[in-house]
Amino acid sequence: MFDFEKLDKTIHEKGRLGIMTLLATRPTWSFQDLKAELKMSDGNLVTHLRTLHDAGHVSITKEVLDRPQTTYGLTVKGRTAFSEYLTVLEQIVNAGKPPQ
Amino acid sequence: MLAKNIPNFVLQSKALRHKVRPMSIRNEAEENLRIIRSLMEKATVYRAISAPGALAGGLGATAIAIYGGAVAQGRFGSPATVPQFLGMWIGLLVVVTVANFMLLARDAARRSEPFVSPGMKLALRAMLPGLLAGGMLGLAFSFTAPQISAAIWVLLYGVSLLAAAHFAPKSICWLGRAFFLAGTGLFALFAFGASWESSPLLTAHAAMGLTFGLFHIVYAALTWPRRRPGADN
Repeated sequence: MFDFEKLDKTIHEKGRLGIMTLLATRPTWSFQDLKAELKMSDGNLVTHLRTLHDAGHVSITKEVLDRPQTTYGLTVKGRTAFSEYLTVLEQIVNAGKPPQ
Repeated sequence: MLAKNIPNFVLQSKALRHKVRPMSIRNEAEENLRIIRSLMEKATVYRAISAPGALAGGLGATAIAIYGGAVAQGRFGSPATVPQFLGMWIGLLVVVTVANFMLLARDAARRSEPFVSPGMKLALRAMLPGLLAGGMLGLAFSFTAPQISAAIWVLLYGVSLLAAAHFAPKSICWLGRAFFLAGTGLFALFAFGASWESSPLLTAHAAMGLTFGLFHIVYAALTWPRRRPGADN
Protein backbone atom coordinates (compact mmCIF):
# COMPACT_ATOMS: atom_id res chain seq x y z
CA MET A 1 0.00 0.00 0.00
CA PHE A 2 1.36 3.45 -0.91
CA ASP A 3 2.18 5.87 1.88
CA PHE A 4 0.35 9.08 0.97
CA GLU A 5 2.06 10.92 3.80
CA LYS A 6 5.15 11.04 1.57
CA LEU A 7 3.47 13.78 -0.50
CA ASP A 8 4.83 17.21 0.44
CA LYS A 9 1.64 19.04 1.43
CA THR A 10 3.24 22.48 0.92
CA ILE A 11 3.86 21.74 -2.75
CA HIS A 12 0.71 19.65 -3.31
CA GLU A 13 -1.64 22.67 -3.28
CA LYS A 14 -2.42 23.65 -6.92
CA GLY A 15 -1.34 27.31 -6.71
CA ARG A 16 1.94 26.51 -5.00
CA LEU A 17 2.54 23.60 -7.36
CA GLY A 18 2.27 26.05 -10.29
CA ILE A 19 4.78 28.40 -8.66
CA MET A 20 7.25 25.59 -7.91
CA THR A 21 6.93 24.29 -11.49
CA LEU A 22 7.68 27.67 -13.04
CA LEU A 23 10.56 28.32 -10.65
CA ALA A 24 12.03 24.96 -11.68
CA THR A 25 12.23 26.07 -15.34
CA ARG A 26 14.52 29.11 -14.92
CA PRO A 27 17.02 30.38 -12.32
CA THR A 28 14.86 33.41 -11.40
CA TRP A 29 11.38 34.77 -12.03
CA SER A 30 10.08 38.26 -11.39
CA PHE A 31 6.82 38.72 -9.49
CA GLN A 32 5.13 40.22 -12.55
CA ASP A 33 6.16 37.34 -14.81
CA LEU A 34 4.92 34.76 -12.31
CA LYS A 35 1.65 36.65 -11.98
CA ALA A 36 1.20 36.86 -15.76
CA GLU A 37 1.98 33.19 -16.34
CA LEU A 38 -0.17 31.84 -13.48
CA LYS A 39 -3.00 34.40 -13.79
CA MET A 40 -3.13 34.81 -9.99
CA SER A 41 -4.09 37.88 -7.99
CA ASP A 42 -1.30 39.79 -6.22
CA GLY A 43 -2.61 38.75 -2.81
CA ASN A 44 -2.87 35.07 -3.67
CA LEU A 45 0.58 34.97 -5.21
CA VAL A 46 2.18 36.81 -2.28
CA THR A 47 0.57 34.41 0.20
CA HIS A 48 1.69 31.29 -1.67
CA LEU A 49 5.21 32.67 -2.16
CA ARG A 50 5.44 33.48 1.54
CA THR A 51 4.33 29.94 2.46
CA LEU A 52 6.94 28.43 0.14
CA HIS A 53 9.60 30.84 1.44
CA ASP A 54 8.75 29.95 5.05
CA ALA A 55 9.08 26.25 4.15
CA GLY A 56 12.58 27.02 2.78
CA HIS A 57 11.66 26.11 -0.82
CA VAL A 58 11.87 29.59 -2.38
CA SER A 59 14.53 32.29 -2.18
CA ILE A 60 13.62 35.96 -2.50
CA THR A 61 16.06 38.53 -3.92
CA LYS A 62 15.31 42.24 -3.78
CA GLU A 63 17.32 44.44 -6.17
CA VAL A 64 17.21 48.06 -7.20
CA LEU A 65 18.20 48.38 -10.85
CA ASP A 66 16.19 51.04 -12.72
CA ARG A 67 13.47 50.42 -10.14
CA PRO A 68 13.03 48.05 -7.21
CA GLN A 69 12.53 44.49 -8.39
CA THR A 70 11.91 41.29 -6.47
CA THR A 71 12.91 38.01 -8.03
CA TYR A 72 12.17 34.50 -6.85
CA GLY A 73 14.05 31.26 -7.31
CA LEU A 74 14.14 27.73 -5.98
CA THR A 75 16.50 26.98 -3.11
CA VAL A 76 18.50 23.75 -3.14
CA LYS A 77 16.01 22.39 -0.61
CA GLY A 78 13.11 23.50 -2.83
CA ARG A 79 14.59 21.88 -5.94
CA THR A 80 15.15 18.62 -4.05
CA ALA A 81 11.63 18.74 -2.60
CA PHE A 82 10.11 19.37 -6.04
CA SER A 83 12.09 16.53 -7.56
CA GLU A 84 11.01 14.18 -4.74
CA TYR A 85 7.40 15.33 -5.11
CA LEU A 86 7.52 14.44 -8.82
CA THR A 87 8.94 11.01 -8.00
CA VAL A 88 6.12 10.39 -5.51
CA LEU A 89 3.48 11.46 -8.06
CA GLU A 90 4.96 9.07 -10.62
CA GLN A 91 4.97 6.25 -8.06
CA ILE A 92 1.27 6.89 -7.26
CA VAL A 93 0.35 6.85 -10.96
CA ASN A 94 2.42 3.73 -11.64
CA ALA A 95 1.05 1.96 -8.58
CA GLY A 96 -2.44 2.04 -10.10
CA LYS A 97 -1.37 0.62 -13.45
CA PRO A 98 -1.83 -3.08 -14.17
CA PRO A 99 1.50 -4.97 -14.21
CA GLN A 100 3.11 -5.29 -17.68
CA MET B 1 -32.26 -3.98 14.69
CA LEU B 2 -30.78 -0.57 14.08
CA ALA B 3 -28.01 -1.16 16.62
CA LYS B 4 -27.20 -4.43 14.90
CA ASN B 5 -26.80 -2.68 11.55
CA ILE B 6 -24.51 0.06 12.78
CA PRO B 7 -21.32 -2.05 12.94
CA ASN B 8 -22.00 -3.31 9.43
CA PHE B 9 -22.53 0.25 8.23
CA VAL B 10 -19.22 1.33 9.75
CA LEU B 11 -17.47 -1.66 8.23
CA GLN B 12 -18.86 -0.84 4.78
CA SER B 13 -17.86 2.83 5.10
CA LYS B 14 -14.30 1.89 5.96
CA ALA B 15 -14.11 -0.56 3.12
CA LEU B 16 -15.43 2.03 0.71
CA ARG B 17 -12.98 4.63 1.94
CA HIS B 18 -10.04 2.28 1.28
CA LYS B 19 -11.31 1.66 -2.24
CA VAL B 20 -12.07 5.27 -3.15
CA ARG B 21 -9.10 7.09 -1.64
CA PRO B 22 -6.34 5.44 -3.69
CA MET B 23 -8.36 6.05 -6.85
CA SER B 24 -8.94 9.75 -6.07
CA ILE B 25 -5.30 10.24 -5.06
CA ARG B 26 -4.22 8.61 -8.29
CA ASN B 27 -6.50 10.89 -10.31
CA GLU B 28 -5.15 13.86 -8.41
CA ALA B 29 -1.58 12.75 -9.07
CA GLU B 30 -2.32 12.40 -12.80
CA GLU B 31 -3.99 15.82 -12.84
CA ASN B 32 -1.01 17.41 -11.05
CA LEU B 33 1.43 15.80 -13.47
CA ARG B 34 -0.64 17.23 -16.35
CA ILE B 35 -0.50 20.70 -14.76
CA ILE B 36 3.27 20.44 -14.29
CA ARG B 37 3.83 19.27 -17.88
CA SER B 38 1.66 21.99 -19.40
CA LEU B 39 3.19 24.77 -17.27
CA MET B 40 6.71 23.61 -18.06
CA GLU B 41 5.96 23.56 -21.79
CA LYS B 42 4.38 27.00 -21.62
CA ALA B 43 7.25 28.45 -19.63
CA THR B 44 10.11 26.90 -21.51
CA VAL B 45 8.96 26.79 -25.12
CA TYR B 46 8.51 29.94 -27.13
CA ARG B 47 7.87 29.99 -30.85
CA ALA B 48 9.35 33.27 -32.08
CA ILE B 49 8.32 32.70 -35.70
CA SER B 50 4.70 31.90 -36.45
CA ALA B 51 4.01 29.57 -39.38
CA PRO B 52 1.90 32.13 -41.32
CA GLY B 53 4.61 34.77 -40.69
CA ALA B 54 7.26 32.40 -42.01
CA LEU B 55 5.15 31.61 -45.09
CA ALA B 56 4.63 35.32 -45.84
CA GLY B 57 8.34 35.97 -45.36
CA GLY B 58 9.35 32.96 -47.44
CA LEU B 59 7.08 33.85 -50.35
CA GLY B 60 8.13 37.51 -50.19
CA ALA B 61 11.82 36.58 -50.14
CA THR B 62 11.38 34.22 -53.07
CA ALA B 63 9.54 36.86 -55.08
CA ILE B 64 12.20 39.50 -54.33
CA ALA B 65 15.01 37.08 -55.16
CA ILE B 66 13.43 36.25 -58.54
CA TYR B 67 12.72 39.90 -59.36
CA GLY B 68 16.11 41.10 -58.03
CA GLY B 69 17.89 38.32 -59.92
CA ALA B 70 16.13 39.31 -63.14
CA VAL B 71 17.10 42.97 -62.63
CA ALA B 72 20.70 41.93 -61.89
CA GLN B 73 20.77 39.99 -65.17
CA GLY B 74 19.63 43.12 -67.01
CA ARG B 75 16.20 41.77 -67.97
CA PHE B 76 14.50 45.12 -67.25
CA GLY B 77 17.05 47.35 -68.97
CA SER B 78 18.07 49.46 -65.98
CA PRO B 79 21.21 48.29 -64.12
CA ALA B 80 20.91 46.69 -60.67
CA THR B 81 22.18 48.86 -57.83
CA VAL B 82 23.10 48.20 -54.20
CA PRO B 83 20.57 50.76 -52.81
CA GLN B 84 17.87 48.94 -54.78
CA PHE B 85 19.09 45.60 -53.32
CA LEU B 86 19.09 47.00 -49.80
CA GLY B 87 15.74 48.76 -50.24
CA MET B 88 13.99 45.57 -51.36
CA TRP B 89 15.38 43.33 -48.60
CA ILE B 90 15.12 45.86 -45.76
CA GLY B 91 11.58 46.69 -46.90
CA LEU B 92 10.67 43.00 -46.77
CA LEU B 93 12.32 42.65 -43.34
CA VAL B 94 10.21 45.52 -41.94
CA VAL B 95 6.94 44.24 -43.42
CA VAL B 96 7.53 40.63 -42.31
CA THR B 97 8.68 41.63 -38.82
CA VAL B 98 5.55 43.75 -38.28
CA ALA B 99 3.32 40.97 -39.70
CA ASN B 100 5.02 38.33 -37.51
CA PHE B 101 4.57 40.42 -34.35
CA MET B 102 0.90 40.99 -35.24
CA LEU B 103 0.39 37.24 -35.68
CA LEU B 104 2.17 36.49 -32.39
CA ALA B 105 -0.02 39.11 -30.68
CA ARG B 106 -3.15 37.50 -32.13
CA ASP B 107 -2.03 34.05 -30.94
CA ALA B 108 -1.24 35.42 -27.46
CA ALA B 109 -4.67 37.11 -27.27
CA ARG B 110 -6.37 33.86 -28.31
CA ARG B 111 -4.63 32.04 -25.46
CA SER B 112 -5.47 34.96 -23.07
CA GLU B 113 -1.75 35.52 -22.48
CA PRO B 114 0.20 38.79 -22.48
CA PHE B 115 1.84 39.63 -25.83
CA VAL B 116 5.16 40.49 -24.15
CA SER B 117 5.37 37.21 -22.26
CA PRO B 118 8.36 36.00 -20.26
CA GLY B 119 9.07 33.66 -23.20
CA MET B 120 9.16 36.53 -25.67
CA LYS B 121 11.48 38.52 -23.41
CA LEU B 122 13.84 35.56 -23.19
CA ALA B 123 13.71 35.03 -26.95
CA LEU B 124 14.43 38.70 -27.67
CA ARG B 125 17.28 38.78 -25.16
CA ALA B 126 18.83 35.70 -26.75
CA MET B 127 18.31 36.66 -30.39
CA LEU B 128 18.84 40.43 -30.52
CA PRO B 129 22.66 40.47 -30.22
CA GLY B 130 23.06 38.14 -33.21
CA LEU B 131 20.40 39.92 -35.24
CA LEU B 132 21.85 43.38 -34.59
CA ALA B 133 25.43 42.25 -35.23
CA GLY B 134 24.36 40.55 -38.46
CA GLY B 135 22.34 43.55 -39.60
CA MET B 136 25.17 46.03 -39.03
CA LEU B 137 27.94 43.81 -40.45
CA GLY B 138 25.85 43.09 -43.52
CA LEU B 139 25.17 46.77 -44.08
CA ALA B 140 28.88 47.58 -43.68
CA PHE B 141 29.81 45.15 -46.48
CA SER B 142 26.83 45.78 -48.71
CA PHE B 143 28.34 48.49 -50.95
CA THR B 144 31.63 46.67 -51.51
CA ALA B 145 30.51 43.03 -51.55
CA PRO B 146 26.74 42.42 -51.37
CA GLN B 147 27.26 38.66 -51.66
CA ILE B 148 29.27 38.77 -48.40
CA SER B 149 26.40 40.76 -46.83
CA ALA B 150 23.96 38.02 -47.82
CA ALA B 151 26.24 35.33 -46.35
CA ILE B 152 26.59 37.31 -43.09
CA TRP B 153 22.82 37.75 -42.80
CA VAL B 154 22.22 34.05 -43.42
CA LEU B 155 24.90 32.94 -40.94
CA LEU B 156 24.00 35.32 -38.12
CA TYR B 157 20.26 34.76 -38.51
CA GLY B 158 21.03 31.08 -37.96
CA VAL B 159 23.21 31.91 -34.95
CA SER B 160 20.38 34.05 -33.50
CA LEU B 161 17.85 31.25 -33.86
CA LEU B 162 20.26 28.78 -32.27
CA ALA B 163 20.77 31.21 -29.37
CA ALA B 164 17.10 30.62 -28.52
CA ALA B 165 17.45 26.84 -28.82
CA HIS B 166 17.08 26.16 -25.07
CA PHE B 167 13.49 27.35 -25.00
CA ALA B 168 12.43 27.14 -28.65
CA PRO B 169 10.56 24.26 -30.26
CA LYS B 170 12.66 21.77 -32.23
CA SER B 171 11.52 23.23 -35.56
CA ILE B 172 13.14 26.60 -34.72
CA CYS B 173 16.37 24.78 -33.83
CA TRP B 174 16.31 22.96 -37.16
CA LEU B 175 15.66 26.24 -38.97
CA GLY B 176 18.63 27.77 -37.10
CA ARG B 177 20.85 24.83 -38.03
CA ALA B 178 19.83 25.10 -41.70
CA PHE B 179 20.68 28.82 -41.80
CA PHE B 180 23.93 28.27 -39.90
CA LEU B 181 25.06 25.52 -42.29
CA ALA B 182 24.01 27.52 -45.35
CA GLY B 183 25.86 30.62 -44.10
CA THR B 184 28.96 28.60 -43.27
CA GLY B 185 28.72 26.92 -46.67
CA LEU B 186 28.56 30.28 -48.45
CA PHE B 187 31.66 31.49 -46.61
CA ALA B 188 33.40 28.21 -47.42
CA LEU B 189 32.63 28.78 -51.10
CA PHE B 190 34.07 32.30 -50.91
CA ALA B 191 37.09 31.05 -48.95
CA PHE B 192 37.84 28.29 -51.46
CA GLY B 193 37.96 30.83 -54.23
CA ALA B 194 34.57 30.60 -55.91
CA SER B 195 34.40 33.75 -57.99
CA TRP B 196 31.23 35.80 -57.85
CA GLU B 197 32.84 38.97 -59.15
CA SER B 198 30.90 38.88 -62.41
CA SER B 199 27.54 39.34 -60.69
CA PRO B 200 27.73 39.88 -56.93
CA LEU B 201 24.16 41.19 -56.76
CA LEU B 202 22.80 38.14 -58.58
CA THR B 203 24.72 35.92 -56.13
CA ALA B 204 23.39 37.89 -53.17
CA HIS B 205 19.77 37.66 -54.38
CA ALA B 206 20.15 33.93 -55.07
CA ALA B 207 21.63 33.27 -51.61
CA MET B 208 18.86 35.26 -49.93
CA GLY B 209 16.10 33.61 -51.97
CA LEU B 210 17.35 30.06 -51.41
CA THR B 211 17.68 30.55 -47.66
CA PHE B 212 15.25 33.20 -46.39
CA GLY B 213 12.77 32.20 -49.10
CA LEU B 214 12.98 28.42 -49.35
CA PHE B 215 13.87 27.61 -45.72
CA HIS B 216 10.98 29.68 -44.37
CA ILE B 217 8.49 28.09 -46.77
CA VAL B 218 9.62 24.61 -45.69
CA TYR B 219 9.44 25.67 -42.00
CA ALA B 220 5.90 27.03 -42.51
CA ALA B 221 4.80 23.82 -44.26
CA LEU B 222 6.16 21.65 -41.44
CA THR B 223 4.81 23.73 -38.55
CA TRP B 224 1.49 24.93 -39.97
CA PRO B 225 -1.18 24.39 -37.29
CA ARG B 226 -3.17 21.33 -38.28
CA ARG B 227 -6.68 20.64 -37.06
CA ARG B 228 -6.87 17.30 -35.27
CA PRO B 229 -9.28 14.82 -36.85
CA GLY B 230 -12.60 15.02 -35.06
CA ALA B 231 -11.70 18.27 -33.28
CA ASP B 232 -14.42 20.86 -32.78
CA ASN B 233 -14.52 24.01 -34.89
